[in-house]
Amino acid sequence: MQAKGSGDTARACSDIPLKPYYTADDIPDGHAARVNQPPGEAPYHRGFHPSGYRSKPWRIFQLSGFGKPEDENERIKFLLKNGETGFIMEHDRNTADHCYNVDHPEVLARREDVGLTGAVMQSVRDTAICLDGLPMDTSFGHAGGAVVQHAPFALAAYWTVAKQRGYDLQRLAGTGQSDFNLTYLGCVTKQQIPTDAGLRFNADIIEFCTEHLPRWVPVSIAGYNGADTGLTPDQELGSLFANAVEYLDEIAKRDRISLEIAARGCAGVSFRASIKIFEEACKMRAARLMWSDLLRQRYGITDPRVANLRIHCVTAGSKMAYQQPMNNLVRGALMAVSAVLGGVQSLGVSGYDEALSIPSEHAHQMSVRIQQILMEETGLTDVTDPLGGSYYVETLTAQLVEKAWAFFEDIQSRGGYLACLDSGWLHAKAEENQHAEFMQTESGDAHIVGVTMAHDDCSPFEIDGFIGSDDAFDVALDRLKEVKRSRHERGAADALRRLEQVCRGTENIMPAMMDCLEREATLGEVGDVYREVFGDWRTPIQS
Amino acid sequence: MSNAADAAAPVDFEQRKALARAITSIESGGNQALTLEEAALATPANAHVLGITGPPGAGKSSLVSALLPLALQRYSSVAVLAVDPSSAVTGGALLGDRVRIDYRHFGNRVFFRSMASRGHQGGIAAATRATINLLDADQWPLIIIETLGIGQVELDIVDLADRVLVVLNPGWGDGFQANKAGLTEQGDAFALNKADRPGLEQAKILLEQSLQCLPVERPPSVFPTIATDGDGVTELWHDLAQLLADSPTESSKKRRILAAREAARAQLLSDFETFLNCGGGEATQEKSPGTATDLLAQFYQQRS
Amino acid sequence: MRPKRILMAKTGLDGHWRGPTIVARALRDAGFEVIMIGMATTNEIVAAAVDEDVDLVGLNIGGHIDVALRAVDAVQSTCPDMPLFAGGTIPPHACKQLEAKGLEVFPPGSALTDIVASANRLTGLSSQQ
Repeated sequence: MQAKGSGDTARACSDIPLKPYYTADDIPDGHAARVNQPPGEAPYHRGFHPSGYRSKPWRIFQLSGFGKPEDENERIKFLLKNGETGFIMEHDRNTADHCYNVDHPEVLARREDVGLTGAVMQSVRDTAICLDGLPMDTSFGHAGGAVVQHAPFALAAYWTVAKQRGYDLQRLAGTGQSDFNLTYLGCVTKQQIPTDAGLRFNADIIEFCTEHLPRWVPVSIAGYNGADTGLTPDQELGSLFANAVEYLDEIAKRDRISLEIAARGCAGVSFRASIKIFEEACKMRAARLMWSDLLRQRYGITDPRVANLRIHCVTAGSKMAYQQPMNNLVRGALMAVSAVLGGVQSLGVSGYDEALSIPSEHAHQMSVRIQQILMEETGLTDVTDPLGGSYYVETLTAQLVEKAWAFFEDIQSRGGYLACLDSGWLHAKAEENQHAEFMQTESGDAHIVGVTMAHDDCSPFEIDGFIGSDDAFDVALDRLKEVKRSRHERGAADALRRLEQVCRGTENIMPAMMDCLEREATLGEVGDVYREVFGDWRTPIQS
Repeated sequence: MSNAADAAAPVDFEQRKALARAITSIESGGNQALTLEEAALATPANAHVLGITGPPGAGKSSLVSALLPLALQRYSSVAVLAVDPSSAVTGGALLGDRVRIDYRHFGNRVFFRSMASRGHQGGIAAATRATINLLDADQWPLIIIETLGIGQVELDIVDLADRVLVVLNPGWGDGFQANKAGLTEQGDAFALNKADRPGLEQAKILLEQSLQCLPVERPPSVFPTIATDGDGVTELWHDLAQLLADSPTESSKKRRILAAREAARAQLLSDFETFLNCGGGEATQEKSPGTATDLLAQFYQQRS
Repeated sequence: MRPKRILMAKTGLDGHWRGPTIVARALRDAGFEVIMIGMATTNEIVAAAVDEDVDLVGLNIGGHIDVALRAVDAVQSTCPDMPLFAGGTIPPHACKQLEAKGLEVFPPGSALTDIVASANRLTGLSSQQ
């Protein structure tokens, strides 16, 4: 929902009434005491570390990829050359999200879509091409695997390539994402494993990383995907922590690894940075506070290395307008400001062409430049938590915390986060908000420059959508045939059979998955195992 | 019109268009609908009609989805009619069963029609009966009707279907409410879907107890199912297939009797209009009801 | 007059449901019977348009325009008089290609009132341009 801009009717997106101005008296009791707490100390709302960005600038971390693995490789190298300080591998949605190979009928029916949103990586050979010459050992890599059912495959592919190159997994840093919001709430796939199987996958990844990849962030809950589906900032917070307790309760129930280590594995999250600058900055502050309170109160965990939430932020793609797209450069910069004021550790800025296509090279470059300008020219990095102590910001932070906990409790009373995905309750919440937002735009109550006001039909910067490569499908099909022709067939078949056995039992799936990748089993074959063993999640929405 | 039974064969869109347009005409009502249904009734009733009803969220669509492949092992083709509610205010409707029911792998062998209730009460649309008769005449050997669920279980389907499957969940209602809704008397089989939820055993016992009280030789069976995993669905289908195979001819004709009655009612109304227009209007002015009835009887005598 | 029926389909596998859901809801509120089919292939769209005997086909387009154009061609060849409209993340060059085939196109930022007016016009409920 949009905050209205005028008079005494102004409200935050989280449906909190906003006063014309604030004084010390507005800060709720129970929150006043924390205002003077230094950054780097519990409850951490003021930031990760006392010296903030002076000691460690945020990571410039852009979603990137399309076409063939070599196209994606080229784009990642371009971004790194331009100043990106980590890299993210995007996978083709048609194949990756569904664990289909390109010869699956659903993909064949849409062959031109293949490679449009990320590279096609059906076997470890494709992943190796995508990673060719990239600094896996010194940089922070995002292996993709944003989608829960795809994550084990994507992670195992990345780690197998790392092993083939002689890197020590114990020292490898990076992340996947393995986020429920993305495909169970936001972009619901045509077919995916049920949520309980997904929970098992994520807990398996957390356990596996604890033993084999201690520097890897095993899962990263993406509040972003909830927010960009329609959840308000308080709901984004509440649902994110409701999701986190599903993981931690599952780990506690299994009792195989230390809960503290598991909690550390869940402490790298992502949020959306949207256009309401103060509310979004408050959201990041509220998130850190909530995480440390949650760990202390629910699990008795106070270790600062665990209780200190690390936040990646992406600016809101849905706020990027189709009309007058150059305006989106300004929006991207301002949304990035809100994230930086909130003290995030990592940031991606959506392309100015977001409403038309995936980013062109120029749009991508500008997303990096925006961050460099904020980092190097503006003085935003000089002082940690520059908003701290503002009557307004401290009050709004406190109010967001209270509302977010209420939403968290609402979810708990309905059986928890996953139950609310299964039942469609969260979708209904998101839809309700979207509808309200649309109606406000429609009625003109919410102003969007270039869309609902300030129209012009002579924009000198007209752009068109970026189209990647046109041979992604053909090349992927050739490579699929080639890998099946030249791999050791019995080895692959054995590995897949072993994976199926493990899926049917309770042991950790990751060793069997690593074996599948090493023996060059393909994505679609792994997906077939899932479909056979786990069946299909029944989507609770109608579209 | 006749449906093809081979999933691999190219779909004959012209045949399907004719059927689909006929259903649209039936939905639009009026004389055209009556004419279409009357023509359909000239063909013997061969189809088996399975009604699936239950409260909202019980998992009716998921069960249809799970039963469809099994049904297609026994029947050459299946027509699915899925009824959803129309908005009382705007008359609009969101018909979402095509998303919930997995029908797409079967090509020609499945005809799927979404139907809005258009203000009709009782869990079905006004056009549902005539549409069933039309599909029957079009040689669809099995017709599955999924009723809408609006709070209470809707039972008009029992007049149209040969067999009715009632879908409930553990913890739904409890035995008392199932009795109260008349459910136990109307269902031919019961699914306790989402059987992995708490309360299954209790719900099953309560339901079976009330079914035992029915004055019938063989009380309906209760099947715990998890439609989304396919658990229990084979057993349920086995029972339904047997019930459908044994469906008594009287009940399969009930929808035809209703159709005939409706045609007769329409004919009477039409006759009455004629009577009013042929002097009956003036003649009945200021007459007592008894005299007016006599005048109507005279009108019929003169006509015959 | 009987309610008009609209088939709503997504040509891509991208799963975005925000836009189509809001549009479907607005069309329902305007008195249309909206048949949701979700992510569908060209063959599935054509088969549903026929079986459901709809008055209008709405496509949500999120991927490559050639996928959508194939669906448009198939609907127009099987049901020659069927009107279509489209919405979604459709870049300008793709809008032009759809418009050339006679579709009304609604890129992001379009007003719901315009979409509903288009549905009314295309199903013959109103004749104003």
